[in-house]
Amino acid sequence: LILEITLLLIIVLMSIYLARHYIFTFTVLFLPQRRTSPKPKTNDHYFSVSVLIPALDEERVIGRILQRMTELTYSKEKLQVIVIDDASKDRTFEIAQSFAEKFNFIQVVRRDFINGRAGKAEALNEGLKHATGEIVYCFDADYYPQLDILEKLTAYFADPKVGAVQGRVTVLNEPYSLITRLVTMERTGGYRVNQQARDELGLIPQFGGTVGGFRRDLLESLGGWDSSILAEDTDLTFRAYLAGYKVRYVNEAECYEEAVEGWRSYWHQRSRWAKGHMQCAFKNMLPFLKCKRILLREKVDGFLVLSIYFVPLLILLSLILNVTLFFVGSFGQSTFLNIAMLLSVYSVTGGLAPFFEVGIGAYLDQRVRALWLMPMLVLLIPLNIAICVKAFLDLCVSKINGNNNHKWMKTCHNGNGNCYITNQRDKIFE
Amino acid sequence: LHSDVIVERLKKKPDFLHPIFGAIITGYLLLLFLLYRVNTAIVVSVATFDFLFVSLIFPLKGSIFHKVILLLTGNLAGFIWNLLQFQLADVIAYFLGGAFSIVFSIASLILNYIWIVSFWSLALSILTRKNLRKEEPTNS
Repeated sequence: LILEITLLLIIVLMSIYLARHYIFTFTVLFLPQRRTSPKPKTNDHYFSVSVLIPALDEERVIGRILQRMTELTYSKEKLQVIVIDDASKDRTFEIAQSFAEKFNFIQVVRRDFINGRAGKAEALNEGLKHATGEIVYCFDADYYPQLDILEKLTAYFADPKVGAVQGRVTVLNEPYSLITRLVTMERTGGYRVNQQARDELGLIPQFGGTVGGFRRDLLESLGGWDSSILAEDTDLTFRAYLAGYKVRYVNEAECYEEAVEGWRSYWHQRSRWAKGHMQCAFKNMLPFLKCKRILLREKVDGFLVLSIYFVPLLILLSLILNVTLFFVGSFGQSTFLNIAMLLSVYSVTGGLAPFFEVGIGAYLDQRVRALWLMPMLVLLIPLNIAICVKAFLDLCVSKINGNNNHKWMKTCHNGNGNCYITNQRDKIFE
Repeated sequence: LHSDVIVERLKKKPDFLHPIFGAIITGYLLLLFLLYRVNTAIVVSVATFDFLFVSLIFPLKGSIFHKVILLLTGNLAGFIWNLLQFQLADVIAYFLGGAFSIVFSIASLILNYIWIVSFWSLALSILTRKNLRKEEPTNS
């Protein structure tokens, strides 16, 4: 009976996740946009902004983003670009320095080998010390933003309740391999539908750590990025809400990224996300649920967001329970199992989002061919289960050992995305 | 980069008469399945497909005729797919014994996923392409 009740509870939780994603999809697809997008203001009213670009061994891509920074339409008088060279062993510093010599709004901060290479959060905190802008943006070195992205994002800070904004991430090197294509679909579902719906419904859009910005005073009052958490961006999102601020998602502010190109890189990146997210859940869940100034709907969404990386664990648990119940000879095997399993599977594909969310994202982007690849998302189900189980076990082991220093696994960028930016190629490499 | 104008045009006003029509057809089909005592697992799998199809694809832009054809094709394919699956499972279980049914129940989950996602996404891509073709002359 205990096994059956446990299985039933898991199914209920799966159903809640499924219903949540269904509501998101329906909202984005059919409900008219309720929350208005502010229009970018004139030059005189711009906030001053600092863009932090942490870079560790990024010689293949750093030139591309710095070239793009020089082309941004945002007033250069109000723009400060800080490259934080995190003790790179390649030519990252030299390339960044060459830009700093040509453009006075670009600055390079070099970390030494004693303090450097300790993770993105540490590098960003170093950059924050040098930032002078009212708004602090973060861009990863492999990113390639729209020319007017800062205007689009900054406009939202006119509302004093907005503490952070997040732009949309799309994949630059999509045709490179199967994994880049699958990541593109994940991104489409995650940003175009999930984040957008959460913003429209007044829930908890997440600050993704890149293509996003924070008020500097808020960031400083929160103590910057928490370097003990691997998902320092999610952690910051929840701390901002606890401090009484909101995060807004800006779908029209788009930025290209170089997605991971191989299964190994995917594994490492997602393991870091899973572990970091779980750390965040342990750290923020209780304070978030107890906080009185947070609305009930935000609490419910926050709970589901923080628990999302535990869902694959539950799926594995439901499989084990089903096998056990089979051997025990328990009730209504086929129908019950079928419903349970269908729900489980639909809750996790494509970056922990169900396939219909990904599909509708592709539809809204008019990506006909991307839709043909959707059955391949099935490959990500066992992978996500394995990743989350390993991340959970790693966390448990480190808790038992008392070792809370989790190693930051950097994602390698090969610069293969350069070939998709034809009009920029010559400028970057001249 | 995608223009919000295109998205707004795609969103437009959802046609809620289409899903009502789709729901009637689905109800009729499922009733037929139940009357003929089709395996419950097949009904569950087809009903899941129908729900996602009718509620998310039927309100989109496109002709009702195409949507109904795609829905019926999906149902037929799902029915045959599941039937073959169960026949095959019976044959294998005959040789391997009862323990195979637990392997099958997990495998059928993936097999169900494949047909549902394939037909759902195929239908969506056909509708998207038809919409894009209609837009082309006006754009030019």
